[in-house]
Amino acid sequence: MKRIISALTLWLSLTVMVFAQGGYQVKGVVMDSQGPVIGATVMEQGTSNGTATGLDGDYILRVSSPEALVEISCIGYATQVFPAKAVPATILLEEDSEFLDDVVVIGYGTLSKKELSASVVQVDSKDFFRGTTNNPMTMLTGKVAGLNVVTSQGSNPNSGSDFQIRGATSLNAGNGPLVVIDGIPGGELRSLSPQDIESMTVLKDAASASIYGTSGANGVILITTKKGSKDEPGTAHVTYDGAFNVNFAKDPIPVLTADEWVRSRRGTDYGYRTDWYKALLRKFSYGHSHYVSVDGSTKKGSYNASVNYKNSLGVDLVDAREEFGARAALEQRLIKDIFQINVSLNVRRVNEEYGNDGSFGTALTINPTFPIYNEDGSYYQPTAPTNATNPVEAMLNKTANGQRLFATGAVSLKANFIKNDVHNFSSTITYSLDYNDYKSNNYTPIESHEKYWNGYEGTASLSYSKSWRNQLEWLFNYSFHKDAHHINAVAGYSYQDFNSENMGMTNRGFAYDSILWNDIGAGTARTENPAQTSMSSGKSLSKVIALLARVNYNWNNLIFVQASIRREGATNFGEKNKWGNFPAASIAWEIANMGFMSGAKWVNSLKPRFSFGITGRRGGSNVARPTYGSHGQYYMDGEWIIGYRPASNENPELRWEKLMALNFGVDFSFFDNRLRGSLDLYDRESPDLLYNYTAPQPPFIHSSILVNVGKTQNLGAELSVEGDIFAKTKVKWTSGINASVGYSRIVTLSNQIYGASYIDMLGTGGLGQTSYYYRYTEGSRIGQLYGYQAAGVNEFGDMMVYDNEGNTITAASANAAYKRYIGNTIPKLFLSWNNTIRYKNWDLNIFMNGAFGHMIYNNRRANNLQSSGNANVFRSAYTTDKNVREYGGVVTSYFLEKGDFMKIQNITLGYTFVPKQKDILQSLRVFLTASDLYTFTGYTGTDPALLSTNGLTPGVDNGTGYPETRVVTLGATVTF
Amino acid sequence: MRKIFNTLIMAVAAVSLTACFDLSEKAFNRIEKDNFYQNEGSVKGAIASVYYTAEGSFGEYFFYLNEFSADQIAWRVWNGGQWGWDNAEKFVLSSHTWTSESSIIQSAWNNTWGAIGECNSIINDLQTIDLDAIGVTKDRAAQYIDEMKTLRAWCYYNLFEVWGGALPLNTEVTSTVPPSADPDFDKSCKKIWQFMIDELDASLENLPVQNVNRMNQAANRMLKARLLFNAEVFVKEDHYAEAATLCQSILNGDFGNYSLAGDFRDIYNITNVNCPEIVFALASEYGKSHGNAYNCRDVTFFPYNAFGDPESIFGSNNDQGRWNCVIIAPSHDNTGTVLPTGGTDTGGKSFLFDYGDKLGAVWDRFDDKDIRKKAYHADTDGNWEGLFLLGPQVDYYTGAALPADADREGQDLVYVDQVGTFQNKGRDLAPVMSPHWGETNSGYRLVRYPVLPDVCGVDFRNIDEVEFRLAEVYYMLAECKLRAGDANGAKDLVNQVRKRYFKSADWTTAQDSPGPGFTAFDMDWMLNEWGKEFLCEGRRRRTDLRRFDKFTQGQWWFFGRGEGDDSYPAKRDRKYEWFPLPEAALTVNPGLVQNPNYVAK
Repeated sequence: MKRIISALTLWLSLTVMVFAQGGYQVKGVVMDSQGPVIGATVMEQGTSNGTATGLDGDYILRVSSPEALVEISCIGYATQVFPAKAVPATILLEEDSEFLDDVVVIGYGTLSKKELSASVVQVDSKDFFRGTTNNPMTMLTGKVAGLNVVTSQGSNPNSGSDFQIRGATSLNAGNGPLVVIDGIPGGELRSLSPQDIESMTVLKDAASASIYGTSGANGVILITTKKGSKDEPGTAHVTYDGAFNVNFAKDPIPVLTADEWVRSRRGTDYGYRTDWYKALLRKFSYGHSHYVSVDGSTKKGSYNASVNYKNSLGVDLVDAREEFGARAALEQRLIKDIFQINVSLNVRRVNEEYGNDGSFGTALTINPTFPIYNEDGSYYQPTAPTNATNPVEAMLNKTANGQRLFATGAVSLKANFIKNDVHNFSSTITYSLDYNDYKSNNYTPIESHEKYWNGYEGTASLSYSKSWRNQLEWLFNYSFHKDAHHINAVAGYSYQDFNSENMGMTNRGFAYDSILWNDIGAGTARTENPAQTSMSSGKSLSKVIALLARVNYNWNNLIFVQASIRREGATNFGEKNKWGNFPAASIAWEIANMGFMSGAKWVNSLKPRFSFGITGRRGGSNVARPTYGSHGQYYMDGEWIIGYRPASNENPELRWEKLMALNFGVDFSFFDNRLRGSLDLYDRESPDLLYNYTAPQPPFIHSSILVNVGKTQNLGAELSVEGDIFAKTKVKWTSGINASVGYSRIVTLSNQIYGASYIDMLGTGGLGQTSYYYRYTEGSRIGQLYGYQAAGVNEFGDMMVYDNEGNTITAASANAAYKRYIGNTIPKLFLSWNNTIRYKNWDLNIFMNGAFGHMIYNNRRANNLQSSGNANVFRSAYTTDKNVREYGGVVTSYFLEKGDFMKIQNITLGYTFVPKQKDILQSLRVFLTASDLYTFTGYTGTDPALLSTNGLTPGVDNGTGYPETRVVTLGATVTF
Repeated sequence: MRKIFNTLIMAVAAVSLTACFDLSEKAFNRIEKDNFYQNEGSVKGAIASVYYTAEGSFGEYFFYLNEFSADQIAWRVWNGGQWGWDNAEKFVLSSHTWTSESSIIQSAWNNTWGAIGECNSIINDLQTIDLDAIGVTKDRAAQYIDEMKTLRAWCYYNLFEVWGGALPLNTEVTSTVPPSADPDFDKSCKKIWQFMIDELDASLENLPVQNVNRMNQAANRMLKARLLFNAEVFVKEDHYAEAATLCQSILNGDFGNYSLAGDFRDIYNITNVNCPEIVFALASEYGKSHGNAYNCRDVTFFPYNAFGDPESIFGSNNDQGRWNCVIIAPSHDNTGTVLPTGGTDTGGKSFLFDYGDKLGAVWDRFDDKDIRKKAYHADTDGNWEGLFLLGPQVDYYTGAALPADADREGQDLVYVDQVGTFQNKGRDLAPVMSPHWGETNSGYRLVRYPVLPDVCGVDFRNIDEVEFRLAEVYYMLAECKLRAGDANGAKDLVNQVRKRYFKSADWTTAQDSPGPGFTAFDMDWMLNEWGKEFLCEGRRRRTDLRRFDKFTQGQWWFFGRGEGDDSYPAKRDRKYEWFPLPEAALTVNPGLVQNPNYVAK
């Protein structure tokens, strides 16, 4: 095939050869499969002489000689180089898309997209969401079927996101995926500037993730950052990327107005009419970010350096975040390219100012007839009801901030021992250090609600924590390409240590507010009331050591096989189980390349694949061994003696959690790649789950012991389809859908020794309450809410529930034996729909995502009935819930609502300008993005898109009332 | 040369290989087990931890099990039956409806076995480690071992009162899971009872005398006396005579010099460790130990404005949480016309005088002349009187009325000696309501340990919590005499204690009165006196009601008098005499035999 193309281009080039005086003129048209390409760069290699294609994809370039090399490049396409005399009249650019020879990053290496046999999805930077983001992960929202990203408070710059690949299968070892940044596992996503990210790859199945051993069971996200340019030596590009965003707070859930509140006789009218919620909002909430990078290449290497700055103000009066980042990456080849050195450094400094999220909840419920300020200008302080605080005071009358530092440095040395057409053998040693620290400071002044309610006259607290990881990896890579056989192999050694240290202190009773926390010893509580003070510190170290190997074999582009193994040990495990093996294998078959498919030209690719792998999860450190820790005090012989006792029950058998997963998938591409996608079916079983079980007492000292007992199963399917609906017209429209379905269930919770008939999760809270929203037993599906079946209200307005005989009784007197599963909070279906429309230089992206088939427990409604306290309540208390006086303080199906939603997440309009003369300006792109535009839902509480659908306890709406926002962002990217 | 080079290479390779695959774990904020014992201070540290563990358990969970389930104290739910409901975890104790799944039963079990495990470990270590290396003499070690044995026996005693023969016996440091002491409940009771007696006898001699915060000889003997005194309940044997002899020996001063406090307040004051009546008290200091506040004697009763600045009941401000969940059992039902402040105009009918109950009805059971039967009040010099919060609650300094919260918010807080929903919140007011429906002004509250105004500089949380005091020996001996037919002897002993509760002018008549509602110096009177003397001291169920067979068979307050889902039987199933083993413990220990009364037939 390639030979035919080459022959064709040669023939074409001969026909368009034009000789001209004073050099040599090349002209023609640059096309891709869909038509002319606008703005492609046509350069004479090694010079700054170049041009860009026009609206019809046409260009004319005068070069120095017929022998000069002409390079045609365009973002998203493979660069092509021809001798001037051999440039074809129509240059067909091959899209650098996933269905061609795209390179995909996988654990410990890369692989051609076509050779993949495991479930791996890569998203490149051009497909990221733009606009402002707290966490680069949100750029992947809805982009990958089976990856669920939940951002509960996007408008608070200090809040994060929660993400999960496929269903939750671990009870307490965590369900968040491993993040690997440029080969360094465990990285912090927020340490990166989004503009520095080249691509993000999601390893969904165990076959691709098991090379990460006990870190891989929840899937892996590989982040690849931008490296130096591969352009001709000596060239350099400067890019500026900036954005400005404005946040618009949406209206909160309606509560009674002050006048309505007075008319409802809910409490004493103090004579004022205060809109507490509005009083907490910033008049103008905005953010801006700036990013400048320089990248280029030298004769023997390349470099990339960038600095960035970001400043965001929350919609509340206080929350703010300022970030300063810098990054550099260098590559240098030595001694005839036998050796290669790579050095990179990324540093980020973050300053955070904290408001008080709880103030919004209070603002909605506090008596609206209180004033904000006394007449003398001091904060008004309510004295009733119990523990009421002025929310404006609670937010403003304190100083709370934090500083973070992220630093990651890596240096690697690569030696190419053999490098020829058939064999490639190299070895790389990489050392990296990943460091971050965090200091937080808090001060509540002498005159505050704390004084009234707790007697504290000024509270200062400081906390500091730092963690760092050392990693050393020594890898050997070998590849073999001959005839129909292609082999890629990697083997190596990996060492990681995880260190952390922390300290914290609190003191009270200060004489001067102005000193804040800066002379914390000056508080009188330290000597007069030590119980009101605290001092703590800690340190931990754990190590993970592994040997790993993987082989990929491609036979004739028809059969693709991958096999890998990792043998890993960790300090966390018991003496008897230090080491484990994590094998994986996968196979794929490209049917489209089979001889019998030659009649079906419309099939570009049809590749079924099957994979199996075992991966794991680790628990905490120092839990398996016998150690003594401090425990209380007692008065002995005239003094208080600090007690010591064994810190935990010893379990020398403690080991990792396993995840064994099967994945069946098929990748397809039809009609000149205009319809493409993949389908995956998976079955993930997770045995040996870590959980704190009741220990037999006697003989154990502690009532629980960390053991490997339970098992969960997660089944599901994912479909990803994308089509170029209009491809060959002036207006191009590409539309894609990602859908995933699935569920997890508890298979077992017991073994011969340890057993639990159930596990309770997520306490309902409340005064003296010990009840839970979730009770998982063997056979339970994750997300099953446990409570009473509602049976309306009686004549007194008491919530009624069913007992086990079908009689109705008041919820307040219901026996726990009447509880049952009342609904599931895990969506049955996640759906996202992405549309890109291009017209000339304009592009428009509309993105929607949604979740369907789940329930949400509207706890905010339950806490806002007419009878709840004497303060303000939601209007629903007097409308939909007007007949309910008392709901009994228990979980009942009455407050369950359908959680289905579809959200217009993002609309972006962009304009790209590529000048014909690129001497100064290479390209310019301007975009306008509106995010979080509108949510279609029947749910009456918090925007359901902001409520967690991840983990084991999703879908309980305990929303803080922090404002939901719409965000409009204007941004530009300029490359010089 | 080459050989040396080779060896060097090998050595470097070996060292680096070991380092490359070294997975030994290092703890930084813990001490490796093998390095724990450094000197005598380490031994004391281990012992301090056992007292601390035991204090948390006995102060809280056993208090719940023995007081909420009995007639004088109840866990109350309010705000339309919502607040304090707590999944009925504590309410099941007040209503005798617990099961093996009840979480308080579970917590009591966990903590005490933790303390026993720690005792076992110290006893084992002191017998096996090199004592010379840590500078502890053999004699000193023997003293520590005996202290731990007595403390362990006390732990077993607390478990035994609750679970009887369902318990396993474990004295070893082992990974073997021990089954119940005997599959037969009664035989098992006897084994454990005998084990405790033997242990107490064996460990007596080395114990200190009069060391009020540590296990001492008198505490050891009082514990043995309890075992003998309650032997009918524990092992179906009559050991009253032995108990009487032992009590007399304690009173004679054979195990230390103790005497009754002339002023009962000395028992509960901050200086109570100096009170001659106190045999053993758990040392308390806020921020160091659990503190008696956590031990539920006070703050479980108090409303939110008990402490505060500028307004509070006690003129004191601190950050101790107030539960507002517990009341003393009311003396009156809800008949009459409801008053706007709560309660009824007639004050209701008396459970003691009108219904004839000999149990519950705390306020009415106190003699009107008893100096304890008064609203609690402390002056700024730290003098105080009365035990109860009753009637209108006012600010300590200004005397201004304090507001109620929750279901009576916006109104003044006025405590009544009745329990009901006087504003109809949640349901109609019934003549007798269970503590499930106690509006926030329902029930008098108790101030067991005095809360003094801030100017006194005394934090009530630092008052040591009394577990053994001499009055108990007088009462045990009195009951032994009464059972032996010597009512006068019994009366004399009880009167020696009671005398301090009356002014001398009142005592002349009081000394010959069996108390309001009682007619003779009989067994009912004896139980009544036990209840008043040890009100809210954590032993009403265990040493009192059960010995008189009133725990499930006696009637008080709402039992037998409620309507609808408030109805609880006048007499409960005898299976509630003992508590069931917690379900979770049974699951992990197949050798445990559940209390046969709780096994589904």
